[in-house]
Amino acid sequence: MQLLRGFKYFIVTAGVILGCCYSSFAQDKQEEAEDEGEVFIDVKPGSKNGIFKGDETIEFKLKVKSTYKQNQDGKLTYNVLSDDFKQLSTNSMPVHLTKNSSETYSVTLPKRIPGFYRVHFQFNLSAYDDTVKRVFGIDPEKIKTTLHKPADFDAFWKGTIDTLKSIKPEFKFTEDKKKSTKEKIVYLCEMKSWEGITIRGWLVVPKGGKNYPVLYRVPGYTIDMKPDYDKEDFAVFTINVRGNGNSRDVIAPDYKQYNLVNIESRDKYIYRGTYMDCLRGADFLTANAAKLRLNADKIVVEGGSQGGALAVFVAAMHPNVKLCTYQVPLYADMHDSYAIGSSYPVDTWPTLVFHDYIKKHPSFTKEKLLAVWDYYDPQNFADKVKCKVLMGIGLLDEFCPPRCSFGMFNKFANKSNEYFVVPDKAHEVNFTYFTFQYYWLKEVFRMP
Amino acid sequence: MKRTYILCLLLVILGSARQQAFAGWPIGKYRNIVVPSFNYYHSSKIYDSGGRKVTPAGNSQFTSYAYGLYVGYGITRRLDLIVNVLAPDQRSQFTSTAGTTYQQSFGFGDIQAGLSYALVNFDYKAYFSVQVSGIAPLYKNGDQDLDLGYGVFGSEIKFMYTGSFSKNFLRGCYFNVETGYRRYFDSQGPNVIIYSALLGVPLDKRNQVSFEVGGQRSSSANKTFNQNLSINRDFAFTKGAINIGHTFSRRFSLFGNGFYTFAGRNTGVGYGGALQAILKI
Repeated sequence: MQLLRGFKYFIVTAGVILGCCYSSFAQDKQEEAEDEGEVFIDVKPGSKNGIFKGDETIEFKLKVKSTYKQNQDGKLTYNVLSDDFKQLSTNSMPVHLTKNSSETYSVTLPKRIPGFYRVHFQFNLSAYDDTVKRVFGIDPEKIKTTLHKPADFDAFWKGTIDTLKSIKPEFKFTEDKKKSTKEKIVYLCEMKSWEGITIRGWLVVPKGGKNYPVLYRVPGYTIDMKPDYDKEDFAVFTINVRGNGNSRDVIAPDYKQYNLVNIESRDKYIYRGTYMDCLRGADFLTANAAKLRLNADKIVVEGGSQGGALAVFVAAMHPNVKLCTYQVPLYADMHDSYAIGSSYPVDTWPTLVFHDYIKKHPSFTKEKLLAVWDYYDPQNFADKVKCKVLMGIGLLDEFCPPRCSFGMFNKFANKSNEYFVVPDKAHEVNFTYFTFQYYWLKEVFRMP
Repeated sequence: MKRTYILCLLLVILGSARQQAFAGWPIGKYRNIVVPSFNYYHSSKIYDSGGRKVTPAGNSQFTSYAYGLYVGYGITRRLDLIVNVLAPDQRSQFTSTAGTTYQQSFGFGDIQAGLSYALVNFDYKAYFSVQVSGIAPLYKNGDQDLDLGYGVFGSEIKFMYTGSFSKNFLRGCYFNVETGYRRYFDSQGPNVIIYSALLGVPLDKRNQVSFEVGGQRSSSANKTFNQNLSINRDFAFTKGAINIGHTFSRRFSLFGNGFYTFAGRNTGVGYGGALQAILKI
C-alpha cells in the first residue's frame, strides 16, 4: 500500500517537473521561432534590361517577402552612386512587414545624364539587415569616352602585321579521329605565329555539305579552348593563343601572371604575340577554306572577356571577318577601366594584378602601364571595325565596367550594331543572349 | 456534297501548312519560306446535323486533289508576311432521285494573305503571336460545276502560342496551340472558330513526328441541312492528324501527313493526306 502511495507521489512529482521542463522548453522554442526567419528581396528594374532613356522615369520594384513570425519594421535606404563609387543621392522610405507577408515597394530615382550608376538598396529592419546592389544605365549609346591613341599606333601595328606576314605560317591540319563524331569532323590545326612560335586550335566541321560559315572563337583569359560541337550550321574554329591550352610548348606563363608577361615593354608585351596569334588563326581559315569546306567570306569572330578584346582586334585587322560578336569585353577603355577598378572598396581583378605589379616594381608607374596599354586597348581599334557587331554585357560586371564596354561600342564605324544587356549578371551573360546571338548570326548571314 | 467539303478541305490545308513548317515561330528577318504541297481528301460518309455518322443515299462521295503554295517572308524579327493559295482539283459523285451526277472542277481557290506578328517572345523558347489575314476568292461561283469556295471575301484573326520544351521527358519536343476567328463577308457568313493543338517529337536529328488535333465550328443564320452539303454553312468538325517529317538539309525538309475527321456535324467523314516540301530560302 505504502509502495503504491509512494509511486503516486513519484508520478505527481515527476509530472510537475516534466511539466515545468516542457513549459520552459516550449517558451524557449517560441522565442527561438520568433527569431527565426528570412527576408527575400527581389529587385526588378522598370525596364527589362536595366537601361533607361534619359527622359524615362528610373524606377525599380522591390518585392520583399518576410518569413519572420513577428512584424519587421524599419526603413529602406537607397543610395545612388557613380560607377566609380561617388555618392550621388540618398533617400529612404519606411518599411512595415507583418509576419509572413510580402510587400512591393516602388522606388523612383532622380534623372541622370548618360552613364552607368550603382544603386544600393539597404534594408534595416527589426531583425534583418541587408543591402541589394544593382546597376542601371542611362542612354548608353550616348556615352563618350576619351581615346588615348598614340601617334604611332597605326605604324606600330602595321609594322607588327608586316613582320607576321614575313613568318611562314606552315599551316597544318590533321583529323583527330578520337574527337570526331558521327556528325562532325574535328581537326587539330597548327601554325607558326609571332616570333615563330607554334600555336594550335581545333576546327569542327559538320560532315557533308560545303561552304560552311565559320564561327572563329578567340579565347578568354588563359582559357584552354576545346573543340566546339554546339553550333549547328557553322564550322567552329577555337584557337589556343600562346601560353594557353595546347599552345604552351614555348611560352607557358603562370596563368595568374599572363597579362604581366613583359608588361614593361610595348614591343615585348605578351599581348603583341597574342593578338598576332588571333590574326594568324584568321589567316589559317582563309588559306585553307576550300580544303576544309569553309566559306572564307562568312567568318564571324567571337569571344568573351579577354576574347572580346581579341575579337575586336581581329575584326579590325582582318579583311575576311564579316561579323564580330563578343561579351563582357576585357581591357576596353583601359584608362577609365583602371580608374573604375581602382575605386572599388575591395581590390578586384584585373586591376588587382596591375596594382600588385606596380607595388612590387616602383619604377613602373600607372602612367607607364597605361602608356603600354594604349597600344593594346581594344577601343583604339574600334574605328577600324567596319563589320556589324553584337555585344553582350552584364550590368554587375566589376571586371569590365559597362561604361567602358559602351565607350568602345560607340566608337565602332558601323552604326547598325546591337547590344544585349543582362541586368542581374556580373562577368557573364545568360543563355538567352547566346540564343539571340545564334539567331543574329543566321539573320545577318541570311542563313535558313 | 460539294462546297462544304471543299471548304473544309481548304481550311484543313490552310491550317496545316503553317503548323508543319514552323508553327507560330517567326520566320526571321530577311528569311523566306516556301511550302508547295499536294493534298488528298476523300469522303464517302457524312456526319449529319446530329453528329451521327451516316451513309448518304446512293453512292455519294467526294474526292479532291489540291495543289497548295504557302509563302512566308520575314519582314522584321517579329513581323512576317504570309500568302497561301490553293488550286483544288475536285471530283464529286452525287446521287439523287434524278440519278447520279458526276462533277469535276479545277482552278484556283481562295487566296489568304496577311501578317503575323510575335507579340511576346519568351526568351526565344516560346512565342505568342497574332496573325491577321484577308481571304479573297480567285474564282467566280457558277463558272464551274463545283464551286471552289463561298466566292466571297473574308478575314481571319488567329492567336498562336508556340514553343519548345527544354525540361523533363518532353525536352526537345515542340508545341503549337492556336485559336482564331474567321468571318466571310456575306449575309449568311459563315463565322468560323478555328482551333488546333500540336505536339512535335523529334525522333532523331533529321526525323520528327507530330500529332495534331484541330477543328472548326462554322455557324451561320442558314442552318438548313440538306443531303447536298454544298448549301450548308453551319457545320463543325474535329480532326486528328499525324505528320512525319524528314530534314534533308538546312534548306529542304519533306513532310507527310495523314488525317481523319473523327467527329463532326453537317460535314464529311473525311480522311486523306498531304505531302509538303519546306524550302527555306
